[in-house]
Amino acid sequence: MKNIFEYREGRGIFYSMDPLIKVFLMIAFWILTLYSELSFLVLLSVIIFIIVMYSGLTERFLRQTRFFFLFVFPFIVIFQVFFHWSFAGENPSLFFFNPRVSIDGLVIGIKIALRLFCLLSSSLIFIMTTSPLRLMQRISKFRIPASVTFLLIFINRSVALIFNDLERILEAQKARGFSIQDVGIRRRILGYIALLIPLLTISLERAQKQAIALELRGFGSKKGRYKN
Amino acid sequence: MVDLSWLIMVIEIENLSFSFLGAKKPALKNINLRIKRGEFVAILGPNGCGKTTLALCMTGIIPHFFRGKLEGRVLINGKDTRENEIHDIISDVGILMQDYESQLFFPRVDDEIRFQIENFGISSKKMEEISKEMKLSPLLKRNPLELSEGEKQRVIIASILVTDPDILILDEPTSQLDSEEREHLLGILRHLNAHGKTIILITHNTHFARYCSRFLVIRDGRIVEDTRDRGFLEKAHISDLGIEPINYNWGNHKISTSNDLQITIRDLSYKVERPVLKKISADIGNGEFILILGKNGSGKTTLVKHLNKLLKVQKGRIIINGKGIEDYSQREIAKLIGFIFQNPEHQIFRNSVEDEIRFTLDSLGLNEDNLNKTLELFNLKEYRDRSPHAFSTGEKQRIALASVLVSEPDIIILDEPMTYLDFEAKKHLIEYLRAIKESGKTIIVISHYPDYYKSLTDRRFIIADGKISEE
Repeated sequence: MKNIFEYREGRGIFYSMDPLIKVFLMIAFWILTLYSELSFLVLLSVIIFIIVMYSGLTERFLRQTRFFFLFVFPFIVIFQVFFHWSFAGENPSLFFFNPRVSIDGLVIGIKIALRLFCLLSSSLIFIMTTSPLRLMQRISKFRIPASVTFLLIFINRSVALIFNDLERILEAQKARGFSIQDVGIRRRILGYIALLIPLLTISLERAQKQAIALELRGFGSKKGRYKN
Repeated sequence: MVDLSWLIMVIEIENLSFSFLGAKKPALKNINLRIKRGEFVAILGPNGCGKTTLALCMTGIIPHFFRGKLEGRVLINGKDTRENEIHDIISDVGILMQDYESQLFFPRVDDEIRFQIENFGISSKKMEEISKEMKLSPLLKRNPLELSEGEKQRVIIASILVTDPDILILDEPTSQLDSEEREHLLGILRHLNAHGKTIILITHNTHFARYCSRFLVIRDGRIVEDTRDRGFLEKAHISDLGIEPINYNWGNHKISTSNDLQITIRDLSYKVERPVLKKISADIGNGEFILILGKNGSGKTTLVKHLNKLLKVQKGRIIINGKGIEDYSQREIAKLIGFIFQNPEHQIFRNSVEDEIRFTLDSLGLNEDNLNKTLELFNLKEYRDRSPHAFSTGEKQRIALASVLVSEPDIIILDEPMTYLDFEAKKHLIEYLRAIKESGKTIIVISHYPDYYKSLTDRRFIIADGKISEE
């Protein structure tokens, strides 16, 4: 879990491309995604898969998007198929759904899910094929503070590490007889809520250690090539 | 011309006292210390005595990063740490922190080193030079987090050496290393020292500190011993200072055998991307003390995680007390087997010490009879309401032990339990393990330090390349 969201060495046009060109391409892709209809969204999704396969990312990409395809995608589609008309019309109801199966809902559901997929997966491809240091070096030349890029690197890495912490805590709880997967939905929710404080504590502790480590690595030094 | 550079003082500390903001007592009290260029200094002392705080003062992290009351002064190559910024100090002194993983930021080894080069505006030729010196050339394109513990440390040391600092401080560098990696690191440090670097080693591991030229002992924030006597670590009286003498006798033991079979492992195999365990078979008798040895990454932890269902059996069988492991619920297995993880940080997740220990009792449906006894046994009674996250790593290890052993399981698995403990705590743990072994419990310990358990071990298993053998 720790490394699946991170950049790894690889070969292909997307690895060797200038990070700034990739940023522009990604933004263009987002704009296209937001203004496209179903047929074009299908085409964009196919392009995503071709890029993934061509860049040798297939296994990691499928692991990352597994949750999306197993749960999020079907949820969006099913929700739209049954409840599309609950939100349509001039005065959509907020709390009282009116379940009615509709083909329009199916089309809209697939459209929303594909749009979300295109947005997320294009960002993922960018993260997985871009060396953070190279990105930082390129951005520094445009007088954009390196701390901005570093913040993004930090956030990306922290999300992966928080998932890792969560896994470890759940494992420790399991070893002591409490398995969150084996309890009812109410206890499970309460169990996850109870984990927020330790997760936050661990994350803050780590953030402090990393901040110290960053100082010790000379980040922000006047002699350095990065502009802050 | 005669080289007199060894006469230069690289560190001068005068009347240094420091109290963290809000702390009741000072962490350091009236420290006076002068260290010459090229010295190889060991800083020893029990957990929480102020060793790391002293190291933070030497790097300027205190007072620039931590707030508190600082008296006296620290000069690094003549630079006062109070008057100079951290960036100016760290070109003279580098530190490998205890939690060294937090010093890694990038997904590639060469990027880690290049980051330091860019931060100090140094020529990129330095990259090749450093990676050759630290034997990192074949690893440059690898992700640092996927390297062995020893390799990770080498990456950080390489980054530090980019600025060619005179002083290198290492805080508990051996805690995660196996014996081969320890000797490798020691070789690197001796090489750097021979080339004029001042090395300061903070450690509980006296065997690792055997080549140091000077020994400082800190207790309660004060330097209580400062000697250049090479035989210092072999003297028995240093145990009174809370330091483990080299060749300390951890006791002798007559091996006890058991005919009463408790755990049977048959043809256990496990694979994640590559095979980790390959057809492992072993029998463990009731009341036995089993020591599992092997290099980092050999599959020791993977094997024991199968015993309490933290990992699902992919191939093979495990039978405990005559019943297949698949027939136990998670709660039943947790009641039967207590598991103590290597890193206490991964085991602590509640908001108070008492709550941490109570969690096990609650989840196993046990009454609270043992709660007070356990708090007392592990010297935690007065800290019962404090957050477990506020303690030092060694103290957290004690809390983790208490939180598992409170349920008095029949089988106890400990994964490197000595890692963060000081001499006194190690002695306590050995005494405790002896007592529970005598009460007939089965104990399985994973360790890189077999000597500690000499007085207890009945049998040793060695795991290498996913296969098991008995010594």
